Amino acid sequence: MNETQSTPSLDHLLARCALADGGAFAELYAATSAKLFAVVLRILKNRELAEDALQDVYIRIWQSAADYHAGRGAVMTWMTSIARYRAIDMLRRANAGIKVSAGDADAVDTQHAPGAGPVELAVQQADNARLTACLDELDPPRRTCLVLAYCDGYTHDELSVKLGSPVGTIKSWIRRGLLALKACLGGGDD
Amino acid sequence: MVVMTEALTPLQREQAAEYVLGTLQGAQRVAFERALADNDDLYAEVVAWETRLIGLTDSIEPVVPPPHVWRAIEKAVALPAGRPEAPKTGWWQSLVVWRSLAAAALLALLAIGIPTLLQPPPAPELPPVYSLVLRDSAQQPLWMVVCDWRTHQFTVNRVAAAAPDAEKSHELWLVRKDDAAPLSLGLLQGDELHGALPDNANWRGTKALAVSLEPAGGSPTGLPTGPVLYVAPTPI
Repeated sequence: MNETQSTPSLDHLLARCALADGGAFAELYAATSAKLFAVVLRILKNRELAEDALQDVYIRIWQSAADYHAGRGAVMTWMTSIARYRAIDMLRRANAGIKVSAGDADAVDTQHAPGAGPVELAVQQADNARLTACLDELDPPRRTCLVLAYCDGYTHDELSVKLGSPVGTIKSWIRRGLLALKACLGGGDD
Repeated sequence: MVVMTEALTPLQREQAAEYVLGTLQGAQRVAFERALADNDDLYAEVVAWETRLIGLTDSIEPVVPPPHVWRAIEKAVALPAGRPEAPKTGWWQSLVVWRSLAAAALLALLAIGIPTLLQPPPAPELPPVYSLVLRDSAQQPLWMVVCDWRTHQFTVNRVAAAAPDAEKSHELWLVRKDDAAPLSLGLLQGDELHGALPDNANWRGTKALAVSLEPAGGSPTGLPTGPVLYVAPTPI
């Protein structure tokens, strides 16, 4: 991952957080908060909620620093996952009982430069060349489902509205898309 | 790992993937998280998916969070105010102390958004120690610099600055008041730079630090020749 290469000290900073080194925590925040804020903001699409999420995320990182080990993935992957799960939980809670409309679902596209939607961007800019290649191999609807679910926190129902396909079809696209990605990328079982 | 993940059922594998993707919802998600806590195989499967998909976040442009978020975090975790854990060795101690102070000062600056003294001098005559942050136009911190006018030393830590093109160098300058010529503090290379503040500079006469783009190896004239890319005024 490019994050860990461009900031080679994240491991050290996190290790020092585990020793209750507040300065290291401050440095870790300075180095990573803009990325994590962008990730939660993209999912929540609400600055206030995203700020609350980010606060929870770093408190969690500070409290869990001692539990981190290499088996939990690269530091940036671990931290980003904490951020995504927190944002998704908050999104689900905020949206509980609120039915998403096609208009809401479309709003996400306007965040990006014209010409390239979020799906295309995510695919083009994925750092991992293999991930890009494997995403490219997927049927477009499957690829769209995976990217919108992962980056924007879409649910099955929201994808169904967005893509105009039945929920059952969406679920099947996702399931098969994930299987195809795994087959293409490998890893995890060897 | 083969043996470990073979312990999982197809349903568990599917749920691990959809958990990471975010589409595992409601009671299923809660139950999965509960199972995750004490099932190492399941956890490994989740990490494998997190690692596979993390590249999707590369297209998401960083957004600097507002300063009050850090203030709230700092308060919530009751940070030991930059106090490092008792270190075992001398070099580590100095490194941690230094970095902690630098980082604390950086965050203080980020948090308050106004010039902040790291350690207000106990006596007005005593020279200050302060930190400043060189930022790009998007306010993203690129380098943080700690100037210790007591020891006449400075330290630069790279936060997120990218290296210039091969035939260019980033040069750091101390900008003085009263239109005195800027003084070079050296080239910004690597993640950390230590150096002495020039003898003919003092804290009262220093207005700002600046970074200019120079030919590789630095300015041939001893004065900035390229565009000044970033400027950070001194806090006092």
